[in-house]
Amino acid sequence: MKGVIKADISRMVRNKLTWIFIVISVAGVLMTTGMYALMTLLAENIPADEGGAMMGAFAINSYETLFAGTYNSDVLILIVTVMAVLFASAPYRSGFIKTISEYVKPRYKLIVSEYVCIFIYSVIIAFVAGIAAFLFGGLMFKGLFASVTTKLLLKLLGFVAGHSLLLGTFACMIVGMTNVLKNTALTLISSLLYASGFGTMIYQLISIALFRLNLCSESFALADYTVIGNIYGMTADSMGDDIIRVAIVCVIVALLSMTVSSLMIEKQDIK
Amino acid sequence: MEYILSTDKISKKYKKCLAVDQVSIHIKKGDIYGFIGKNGAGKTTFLKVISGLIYPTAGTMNVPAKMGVLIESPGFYGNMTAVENVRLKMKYAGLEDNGGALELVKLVGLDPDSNKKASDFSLGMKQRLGIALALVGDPELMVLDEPINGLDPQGIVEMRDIIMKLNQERGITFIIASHILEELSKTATRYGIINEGRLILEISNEELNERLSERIVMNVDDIVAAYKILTEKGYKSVKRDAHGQLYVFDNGADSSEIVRALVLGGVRVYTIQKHRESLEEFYLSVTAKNRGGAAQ
Repeated sequence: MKGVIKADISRMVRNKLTWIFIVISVAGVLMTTGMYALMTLLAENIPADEGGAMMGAFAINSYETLFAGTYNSDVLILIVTVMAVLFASAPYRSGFIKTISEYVKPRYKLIVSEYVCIFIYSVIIAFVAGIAAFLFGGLMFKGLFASVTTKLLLKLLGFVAGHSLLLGTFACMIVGMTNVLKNTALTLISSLLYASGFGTMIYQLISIALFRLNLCSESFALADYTVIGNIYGMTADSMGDDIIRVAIVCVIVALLSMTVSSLMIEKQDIK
Repeated sequence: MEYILSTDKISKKYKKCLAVDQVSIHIKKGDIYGFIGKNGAGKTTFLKVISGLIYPTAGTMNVPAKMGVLIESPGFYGNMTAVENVRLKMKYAGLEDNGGALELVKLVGLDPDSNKKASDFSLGMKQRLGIALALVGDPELMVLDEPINGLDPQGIVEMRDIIMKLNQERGITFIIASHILEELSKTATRYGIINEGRLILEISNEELNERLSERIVMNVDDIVAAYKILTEKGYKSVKRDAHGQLYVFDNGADSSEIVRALVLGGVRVYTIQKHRESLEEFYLSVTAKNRGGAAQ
């Protein structure tokens, strides 16, 4: 097992895309921060009744709102989704899987190893994005650097850690799906659609349907119990219960997807 | 007798297609087993089953613990060099690289110091890399599927030399699937012939040599008269083809006696030669006789 993990880490490190995506995530954070800075500037200079109010909804006045805006946007999740699909499909696209098939028996070793690698990568992306958001935010917004306290830093660290867990778990799900489907294009398209908002939309519709059928209360949101829902919903002000819920959701989803994908690829032929 | 690989009625069915139908093969240690069949006969499917890539629908098999596999096209990462690909596989195998990767790359005739990425390799170099990757872990058995396809004549010779060297120096057993029989006949010690998913014959090189028939082939001026003369002389297996050639398949037929009989009968003999059946001709005759038949 250790050998398989070492090998997968090695091939991830050797892949140029691994580093390119880290750079893209920093660029993405820069663009997002820049967009918010522009919105804030416009909100300050345009009268409220001429659109300033609308711009004001995106105005950033604290690190908490900046981090929430950055992590709740599509940027990071789309990056880890693409990376997860390409990473998990590489052994099949290259044919290397045929070469190593005897060393990844039982086949769950392949899944576990890729889960470990992509989870670590997602955590790195999340923390790199956090550092970038902190620095860019401080440079683009007046007074943000001055507002930094130890309490704030710990709050932001907890927020980034929570999002790392969510991003890592989501990436693991995508890795599992890629190994099962073995179709790069299909997996990429479906997971990008799911990640970009279709997923949360579907969960909202299901919640509404459940409410109409009197199966749940109006305040119930299925998305709160999904990884994607929490990626878009978790804020820096999330309380203890929310964080515990996020952790439980991540653990359950990761274990479930690992089990299902391991069982499925064990039965499948490698063509 | 101890076999390094044996299968018992291996079958593989895809929906309505029976790709492999109760194939039972036996390979001894040190053999170079030529697995012969036309395109679509089931060779690749069978090799994938014994390699563990696909599951059989039925049957059992006894395979060695350490196998090297090169099936269809070689699998490697194009963004890495040959040595890096070998080292990566060593990591998957849990092996330490104490110069082993360099040695393997050199063994198959690639330059271990080259920084050329595998995606820039020629077809022959890619095949060699595939062999090097299959050799990781000191396999007892190498499973090669059409290893010389697409290679130029020099590449074919070099591939043959590598296989012979590994077989003789390292004692590695090979199973090589191919439809290029001429080349296979230069290396194989044992053959399995598969047709329409069924193994129709398993035969050693020695047995094959005994079975490859001899014939006398002639060009004469009057094929009808020549045919009559030879059949009246008692030759039982005389055939003529559409191109005006006459064949005598009787074992031990003496060409000088045949020429004498024809000349005395007024037939001119333009050419006469003894011809030994090739593996290709043998394969075609066996598959023609055994359409849908079982192993002999």
